[in-house]
Amino acid sequence: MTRFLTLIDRMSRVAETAAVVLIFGYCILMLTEVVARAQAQSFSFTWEFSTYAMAAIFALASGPAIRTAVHVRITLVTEMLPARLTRWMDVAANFVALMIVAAIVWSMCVKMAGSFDRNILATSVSKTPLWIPQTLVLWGFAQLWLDLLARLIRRASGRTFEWRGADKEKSDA
Amino acid sequence: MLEIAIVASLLFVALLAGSVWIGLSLFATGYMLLSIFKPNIPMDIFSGGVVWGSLIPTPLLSLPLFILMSEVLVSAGLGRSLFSGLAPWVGRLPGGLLHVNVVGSTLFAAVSGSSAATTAIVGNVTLPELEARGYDRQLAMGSLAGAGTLGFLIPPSIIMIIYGVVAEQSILELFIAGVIPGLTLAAIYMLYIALHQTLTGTQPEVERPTRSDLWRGARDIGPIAALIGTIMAALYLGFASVSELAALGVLGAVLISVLMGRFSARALLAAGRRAVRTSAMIGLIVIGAALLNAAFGFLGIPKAIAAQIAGFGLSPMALIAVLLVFYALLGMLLDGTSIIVMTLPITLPLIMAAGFDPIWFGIFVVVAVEISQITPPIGFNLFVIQSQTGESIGKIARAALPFFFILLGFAMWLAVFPDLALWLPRTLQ
Repeated sequence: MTRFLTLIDRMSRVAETAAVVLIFGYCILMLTEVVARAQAQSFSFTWEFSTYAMAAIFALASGPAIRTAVHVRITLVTEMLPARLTRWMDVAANFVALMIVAAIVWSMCVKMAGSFDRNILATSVSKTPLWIPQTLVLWGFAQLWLDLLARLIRRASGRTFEWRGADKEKSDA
Repeated sequence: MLEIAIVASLLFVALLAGSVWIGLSLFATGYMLLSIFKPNIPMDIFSGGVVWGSLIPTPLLSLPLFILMSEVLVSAGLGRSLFSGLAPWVGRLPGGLLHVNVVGSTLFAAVSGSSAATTAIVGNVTLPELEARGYDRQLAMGSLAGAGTLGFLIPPSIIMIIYGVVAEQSILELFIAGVIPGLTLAAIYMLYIALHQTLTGTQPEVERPTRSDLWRGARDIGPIAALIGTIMAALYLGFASVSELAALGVLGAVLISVLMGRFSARALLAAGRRAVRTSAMIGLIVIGAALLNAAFGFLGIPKAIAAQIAGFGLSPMALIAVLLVFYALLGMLLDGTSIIVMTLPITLPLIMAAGFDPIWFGIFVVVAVEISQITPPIGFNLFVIQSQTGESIGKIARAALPFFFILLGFAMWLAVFPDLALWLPRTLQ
C-alpha cells in the first residue's frame, strides 16, 4: 500500500511540475507578444496557446492543491464534532468528492474522444487539434482523482493525509 | 420551480456542511439538478463541454500570472520590506506605526489581489512589531482585519477578474473603477486610526527618523512602489492588455528579487508551485459554478427569482440594501470567489433591470464581499488573524467592529454616489 501511495505522490509532483512549466511558459509567450507588438508584429498563436496552458494548469495542479489543502471547503460543522466523528465525516466527504471527480474525468474523456474521432480543430489560424490540450486537462483531472484516492486511503488508515503550507516561504507567510 | 429550488438548496447545503470541497459541491449540485429535472440531456457530453469551455476564457489569463507575481514578491521578502520601508515615513503621523497596516495592505493589495494573503503577509510582520513597540493590540488587530480586505478592491484584484469573466465586463474598466474607492477606503481607515490614537492618547512615542532612515525606507519600498506605479500607469495608458501586464508584472517581480539579492531558482520554483495550486483552487470553483449556472439557466431559475423579487416592488436603493445583507450573510459561509460566481447569474440581471451600471455593481459587490470577510463571528480575515495571534475570534471580531461599520457606511456611500467608482473610468475613456 505504501508503495502505491508513494507512486501517486510522485505522479502528483510530476503533474504539478508540468503545471509550473506551463505557467512560466505562457508567461514567456505573453512577454513575447508584448515585444513583438512593440515592433508592430503579432504572433497568432500566443493567446490561443496561453489559454490551453491555463486550462491545463487549472487541472494539473488540482491534485497537488488537494494534497496541500489549498482547495476551499467549509469545516465549520465537522470541526465541532468529536475527533473520531470528524475523521469519518472527512472520509465520507472524500468519498463523495471521489465520485464527483470521476464524473468530471469521464465527461472530459468523452469530450477528448469526441474531438479526436471527429478531428475537431481550433477555429484559429493555427488549427490546433483540440484533443491535444484536452488530453492535458484530462490528465490533470485523472491525477486529482488519484490524489483524492490516496487522501481517502491515508485518512481512513490514520496516516498523514495533508501537507499544509508546502513550499511556503518561512520568511513571510 | 419551488421543487427545484428546494432540491438545489438542500443538496448544496448538505454537501457544504459535509465539508465537500466548494468547487466540487457546485459541480455536483448542477449535475444532479440537470440529471433530475432535465433527464433528456446527455450529461457526460454536456458537462464535458461546460468544463472545457469554462477553463479557456481569454480574460481569465491574467489570473494565474498575477498570483505568480505576488508569490515571487513574497519569495523576495516583500512583507519585511513593507514594514522596514514604511515605518520611517508613517511613524510620526498621528496614529503612528499603525498606519503601516493600512499603507502596507494597500501596497501589497496592489500586487496580490487576495484578501487572505494581504492580511497574512502584512500581519505576520506588523503585529509582532507593533506589540513590541507598545501599540494598542486591539486597534492593531482591527486595523489589520479592515485593511486586509483592500486586497479585493485595489487592482489587480483576483475577484474583479472573476467578476469580469462571469459578468462579461471589461476587467480593465473594473480595475480602473476600483482605484478611487480603494484609496478612499484606505484614507478613511487611516483617519479613524489617527483620531482614535489622538483622542485616547495611547500612541507610543517614536523617535524622529534620520535622513538615512528615510533613505533606507525608500530604498526598501521603492522597487515595489515602482512596479505598482508602472503596472497602474500601463493600465491607464492602455499600453498593453491586462494579461500582458500580468506577464510584465511577473518579469518585474523577478527583477526586483534579483535587485534585492533574494533571487534563487529554488525560490522561483516554489513560488511557481504555490501559484499553480492557488490558480487550480480558483479554477475548480469556476468549473463547478459554470455547470451550476448552466443548470440554473436551463431550468429558468434566474428569471423566476428575478420575477419574484420584481413582484416585491422594491425601490432600487431597497434592492441594494437587501443585496448588501444577502452578500454579508453569504460571506459568513463562502469565500469571495464562490460568492461571485454563484450569485452573479441571479443578481446581475436584477441590478441591470433596476438601472444600475454593471461596472459600478462590480465594485459594490467587491465591497460587499469585503464586509463579509470581517463580519463577526465568522469572517474569513478574522480567522487569518486568529491563526497569527492566538486570540479568541470574539476578541478579534470586537477589534474589527469599527472597521466593519466603516465598510458598511462606505458601501452605502458608494450606493448613493456611484460616481465614486464610475468617475475615473468615464474620464479616462
